[in-house]
Amino acid sequence: MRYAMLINLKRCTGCNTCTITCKVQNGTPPEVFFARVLDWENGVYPNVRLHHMPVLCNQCEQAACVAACPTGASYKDVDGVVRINKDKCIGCKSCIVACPYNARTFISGKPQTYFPEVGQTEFEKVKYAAFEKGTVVKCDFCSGRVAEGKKPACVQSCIEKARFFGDLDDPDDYVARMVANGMAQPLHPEFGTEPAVYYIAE
Amino acid sequence: MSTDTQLAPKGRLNARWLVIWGVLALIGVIVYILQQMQTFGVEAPSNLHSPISWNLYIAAFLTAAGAGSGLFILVGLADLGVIHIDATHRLHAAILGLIALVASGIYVLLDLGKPLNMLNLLVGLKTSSLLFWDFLALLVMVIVGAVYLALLIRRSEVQKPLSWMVIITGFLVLIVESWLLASYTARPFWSGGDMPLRFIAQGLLTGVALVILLGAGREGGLRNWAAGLVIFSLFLELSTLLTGWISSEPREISEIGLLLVDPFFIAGVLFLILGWILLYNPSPVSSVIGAALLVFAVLAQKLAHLVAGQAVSVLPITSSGYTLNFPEGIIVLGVAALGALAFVAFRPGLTAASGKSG
Repeated sequence: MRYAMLINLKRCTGCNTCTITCKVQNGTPPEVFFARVLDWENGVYPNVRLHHMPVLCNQCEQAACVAACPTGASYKDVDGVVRINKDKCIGCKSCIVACPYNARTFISGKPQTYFPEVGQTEFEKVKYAAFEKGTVVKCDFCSGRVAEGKKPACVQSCIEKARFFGDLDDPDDYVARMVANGMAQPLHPEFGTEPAVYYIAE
Repeated sequence: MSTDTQLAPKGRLNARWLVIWGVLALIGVIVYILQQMQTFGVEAPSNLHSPISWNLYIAAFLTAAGAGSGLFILVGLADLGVIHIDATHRLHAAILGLIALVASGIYVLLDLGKPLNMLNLLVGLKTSSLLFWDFLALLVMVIVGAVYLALLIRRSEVQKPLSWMVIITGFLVLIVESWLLASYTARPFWSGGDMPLRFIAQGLLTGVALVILLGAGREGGLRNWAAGLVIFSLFLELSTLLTGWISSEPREISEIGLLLVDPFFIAGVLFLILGWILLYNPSPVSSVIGAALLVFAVLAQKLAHLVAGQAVSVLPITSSGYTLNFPEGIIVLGVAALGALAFVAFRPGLTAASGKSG
């Protein structure tokens, strides 16, 4: 089994529903985003175009972060997802430097609240337990949801149905078929990391 | 050939310097404690606008590790007669080299999110990570350096094989550290073939500058070494800029562009030139200032190259770059001041005869 994600950029409108759902699902503190949408313009007026690109951890097969981790805290799990064992992490940030996709975040201090005037909410208190100071965090394809047979939150919530979740080892899977027939490409394959997140170009 | 050389009477260290170092060290410790209590100086975690994960602490680590290795290489070369450093200064340089290596370890611990988990690095035995090999190389350097120093202090003869060993281990540390940065394929700016040369030149330059700061090298030999290393370092910087100039890679052009406007890069180049000029001024104060500037130049160069390598992403992200975190700057100075105090503290026990030449 090798979980993978397919993002159809033709459908993405940059609405950021995935971004918000991910934040709610994972309870990420301010400034920490497991899933986000990058926007940029190109062209010259009047021929200007706005582009959107949802990004997240690419769960690479040859993950540069896993190779760079000196303690084995970052590891490739049997389902293809790259996970972090917080107990082993020393917070050296080598994985962050190694990741070409800026998918990892170092928790440098106690997570701040979204509501400074009232302090941390009960929701934040519960969720922030996962954001231990001095460790690195990242997307894990919503492992908890997937274990319950659900799709990752960003896939489930995508209004434009631009995101698909599947298994590259299952030849009948939609994502696997799109990858196999060359309809989808990973981001910057030149780094040799073999990402498991694929994109259908605009 | 071996001669025991009576160390010169301990130079009377200006008490003002001891007070300055003491105050700097104390402030550094206080700022560190306050930082840990998150009173100030802690940046918000972010993968949105802050791609610079390795900055001042790592630059200080690389500088200190380079200085330690450079000092041991120089001491070894002096044993073999390649350069002239008298026995007293050789011993002092070895002590300072060991202190610099310990300081590099402190800088790394400061940068770690969970320093108490440091042992995981040994237990993990993750040979695919260059950080593991870097740690190992530094550990070997510390052990070899400590053995070398112990033999020097005990007046026993330092055999040539041990001199060769400190030289080889010193070069090993510098090469492994350059290789560590070059191994990050996501950071092509660090993967140039000049990286090992840069690390070796910077390590030796910091070593030479520190030996001059110890009071040696006024006769000119070490100053010429420093001049040669400054010229070589400037040549490497120029070649980096020219590579960017002729490059057609947008990422490389952006990285070189960032480097050119980076105040640390500019300061590094200016300090190199100014330090070089001051070294040749007959005034002893000028040589001290010049040597100190050369050490700061290497630190600034390391920081500028670290930042430039991380600032540009393949993703369309607008980077906010790196601005100096002042509490971190004070802590870095504090550790350096602690090192100076440690040097002063260790030196009194070493007034007996010691050393070896040839």
